[in-house]
Amino acid sequence: MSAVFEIRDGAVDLVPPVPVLKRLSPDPALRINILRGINFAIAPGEVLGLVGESGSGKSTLARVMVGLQPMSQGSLAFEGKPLITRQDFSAFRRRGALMFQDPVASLSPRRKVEQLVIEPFVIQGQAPPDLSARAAQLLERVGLPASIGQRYPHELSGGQARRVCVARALALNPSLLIADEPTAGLDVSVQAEILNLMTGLKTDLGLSFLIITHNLAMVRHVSSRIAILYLGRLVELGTTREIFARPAHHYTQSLIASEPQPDPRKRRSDLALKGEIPSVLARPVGCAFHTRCPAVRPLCKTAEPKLAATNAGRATACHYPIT
Amino acid sequence: MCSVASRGSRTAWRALRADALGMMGFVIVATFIAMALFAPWIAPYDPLKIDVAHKFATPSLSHFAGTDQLGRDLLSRLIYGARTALGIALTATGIAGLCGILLGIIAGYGPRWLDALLVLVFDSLTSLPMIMLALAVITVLGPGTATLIFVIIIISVPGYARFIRAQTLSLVRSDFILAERVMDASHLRIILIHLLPNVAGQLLIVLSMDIPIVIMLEAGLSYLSLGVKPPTPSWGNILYDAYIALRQSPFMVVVAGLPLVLATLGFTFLGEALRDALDPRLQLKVIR
Repeated sequence: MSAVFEIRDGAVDLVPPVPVLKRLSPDPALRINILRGINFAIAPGEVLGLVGESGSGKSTLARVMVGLQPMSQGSLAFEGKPLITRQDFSAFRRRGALMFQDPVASLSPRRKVEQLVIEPFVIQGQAPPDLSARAAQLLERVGLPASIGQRYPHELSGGQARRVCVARALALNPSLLIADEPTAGLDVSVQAEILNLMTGLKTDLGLSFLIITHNLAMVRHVSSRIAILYLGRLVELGTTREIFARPAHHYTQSLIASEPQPDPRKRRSDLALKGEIPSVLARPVGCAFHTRCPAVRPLCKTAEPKLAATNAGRATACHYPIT
Repeated sequence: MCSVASRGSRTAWRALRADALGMMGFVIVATFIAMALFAPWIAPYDPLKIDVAHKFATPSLSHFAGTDQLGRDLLSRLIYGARTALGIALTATGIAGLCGILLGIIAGYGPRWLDALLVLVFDSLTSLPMIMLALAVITVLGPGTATLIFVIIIISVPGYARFIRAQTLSLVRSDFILAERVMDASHLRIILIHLLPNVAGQLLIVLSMDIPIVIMLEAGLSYLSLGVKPPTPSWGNILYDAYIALRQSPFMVVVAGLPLVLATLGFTFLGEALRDALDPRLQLKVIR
């Protein structure tokens, strides 16, 4: 089966603005390496969880995938067709949707919910004859009453706004939905509702999902495969079951160990992450994780490990993986 | 703009009613607007009718505000002056506001080089002393009402454009505009449907607060004989005549200055009250 979405060797390097006079000097401009060596594919009907701390480049990756952020190198492909020109991305945007982290901020503040929800049709020039009825239909699909259509975004609760975003993302029956922190800022009970809604829609509509989050518990609940990102590099890729049962990368192990446990005595505080993620401006030489790794050895400080496939569908970027 | 108006027009009106100064401003402004609109019916005399026999008359039953050095009825001239002042102020701020929105959105949304160029132009215009710029333009084009409106537009557009540009720049990076781009919305759609309503409402308040400044500018330039040409009554012209005739009739200066003071105060009070009434964050008050 061919992949719904594929990213090969993706990298994003940013250059800070350089004053005109300095551009004449021969020293090379400072390049900030945000993402490098990003390789993954999303299979039809699959839920891929992309996990990483704040500052690891998760949201940048989402923007790269929809063409808001150009890549420095690498290639993207949607349903086997490469995404290069504006037209390619236009075609992709009819079949793929992105949900932003902050649902209220991603809804235009001076428009009513019903206008916002049917916007994808209007933009694609397929405005349905009865907009209100179509909007009510879309809202109903995400469990919202039609009366919500008459409200403005600032009059919605976080959960309602999130549902409106889901409704709008699903308007054109996409095959891929990229959700950036779909449960951020919601109550635990509402988080569960949103996740159940999304997984329910997945089975009904045959969607593929990319869920970007730092919430391991959520990813464990909804995704079939997990990719772990650390400081702009993929460090581990594998099925959810495998990764939680036998993490191969020390970062993954630490992440799992720092999850809250129902029984506090079972928590492995010796493995929990210490300190902060380093700045992209001062990326550690060698393995980016060596500053916080519990099993650091001399090689880690000099050579950068490559993402290497271990066994079936599993890959790790570590010189000394946990076996 | 539409949401501010539709969501809060009733609450805004209530907030305005509760504001004593705002209500006073509203009444003054309404009176001046009525005077401007119905000048021919309200004014007791033709403002241009010369009656030298009765020059420098003090207020009486036949001339409520007295007469000027040519025996023209001052009250009628001041009423027609309201027409000149408001006509020029509203036309000029209206056109300047539209130009400001257009240029501000182009600068904030368009390519960086165009933004740099436009900001350079705005900065150059604002760096010139206002009155010098006005004098230079009037010298080239010759005084008159049209020139006056043009001068006011030239002076005020850079400020409005910078205001809109700043708002646009902050909105362009906001999630909802990015979301529109991900949905493949055209630039025209983003600008008209998503940017414009979010910047225009703010500008409307700025414009209403600027009207008294424009009225003063018109009067000031007319006082210097650089604005509205003499026989046409303008508050600035009348004040100038009164100043020339200060020795013969000191009373005239007071009468001629009064509408200017009242109009400025009225528009300022109303503008401030509108700003408070339309700002949703200021509507909640602690119950005591």
